[in-house]
Amino acid sequence: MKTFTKMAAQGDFIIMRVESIPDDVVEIAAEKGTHTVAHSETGHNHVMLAEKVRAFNPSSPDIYTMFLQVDEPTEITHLRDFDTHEPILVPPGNYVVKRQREYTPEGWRRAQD
Amino acid sequence: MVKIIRRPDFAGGGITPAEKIQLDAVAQDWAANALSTAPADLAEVDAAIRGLYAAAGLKSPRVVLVPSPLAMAMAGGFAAGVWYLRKNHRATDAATRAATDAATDAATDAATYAATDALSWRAVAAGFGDPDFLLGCAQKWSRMYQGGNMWSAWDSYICGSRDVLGLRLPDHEKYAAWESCAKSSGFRIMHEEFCIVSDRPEILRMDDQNRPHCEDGPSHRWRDGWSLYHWHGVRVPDEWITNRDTLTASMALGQENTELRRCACEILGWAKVLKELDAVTIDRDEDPMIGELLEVDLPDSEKERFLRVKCGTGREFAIPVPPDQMTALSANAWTFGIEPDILKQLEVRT
Repeated sequence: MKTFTKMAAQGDFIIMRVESIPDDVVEIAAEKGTHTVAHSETGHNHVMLAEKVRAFNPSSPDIYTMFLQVDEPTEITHLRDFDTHEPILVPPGNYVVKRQREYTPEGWRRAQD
Repeated sequence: MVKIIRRPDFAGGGITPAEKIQLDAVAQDWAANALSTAPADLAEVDAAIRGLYAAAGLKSPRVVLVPSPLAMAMAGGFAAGVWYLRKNHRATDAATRAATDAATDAATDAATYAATDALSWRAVAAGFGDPDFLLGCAQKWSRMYQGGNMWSAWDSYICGSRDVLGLRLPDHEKYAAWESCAKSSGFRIMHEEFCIVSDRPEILRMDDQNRPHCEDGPSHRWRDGWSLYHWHGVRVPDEWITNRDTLTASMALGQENTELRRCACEILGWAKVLKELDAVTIDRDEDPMIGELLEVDLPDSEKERFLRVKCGTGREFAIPVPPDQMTALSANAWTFGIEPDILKQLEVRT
């Protein structure tokens, strides 16, 4: 399985290693034992098992950024049975995830799929 | 080495090469079942459904076979709503006695002639009393449904472990009723009073990766005419396929959903999109996953810039980027809110 040291991308998000997670984040509760790293409007989410992973939102609402604390190597899996993005193994560490955005005349919006 | 264990109550330790061959054959049979376009036989469906209710310890329902999942969903929702009103003393017996029959017939007719016409559905619902309530019930159809032959993957798993690996579990006896239903018809709505079952589609078309797809017609069509349109697995508006002249390059690039935008560009053909919008290449990176920065003329709009970029699955997307972006690399980095130098450190992209 593909893995990385500092930075990887799967579909419409990137995951980058960071020194630490900010203090003022808000922890996200796992749902059915998983964290959704990137939500898809069509249900084809990118997910991680939550057993060894904690997920956090920035303190101010942001549809674009989340933080991960990964305690043991854990896969990010794309839940789609066609045109599937290959899984990526995330090594232990702290990470920021950034979703892809796109330009609008009013500013920007998160890319939707 | 892991020991292979086969007992009637347990199978473990992986599978042997010979079992793999047999399991593949089971999977192929169930795949063929899922893709069947043979019309359902009412007598066979009726017997299978009654067997399923009996296995679950439920009273025998009225069984209705309808031509499509749309007719099933609307009829099932209306009928469930009318039964609810009856049991909660909010409808007369007279209005309810024939509820299942009448709701089914009316919904089936409406599905045939006006499948996408919301007003027609409202008129049908009004015929049974409270249209808002009944339309609300119809919208909740998925709470009552099972997949029939469309859930064949689960049957493949259960039958493979039973017929190839030799499992003999207590629930297999009851499962046989479920298996008969999976082999006899499509989706169904299960209600304590009735079961409304959809026929299989008469047309089911796919691409070479088994994704629903058809370039010049519906990917799915049921016998009442209700149809779905897909482009390599993505559901697209009917008219993009049936009346391609209505799809323009500016409409394609104006789609908010990135998958639909990609499909629209593929349906039109990228060459036509670029030509129609007088696209100019501002910058092209040698890495197609960084992409090509384009400027296009959209009607009723300023010039706009798009990043035409390949994703980890090999498909091409068009992403709107700010007009001040001058290179494909900076535009790509902007989409993630990072500096171009940071993006260059990307090690893996899938």
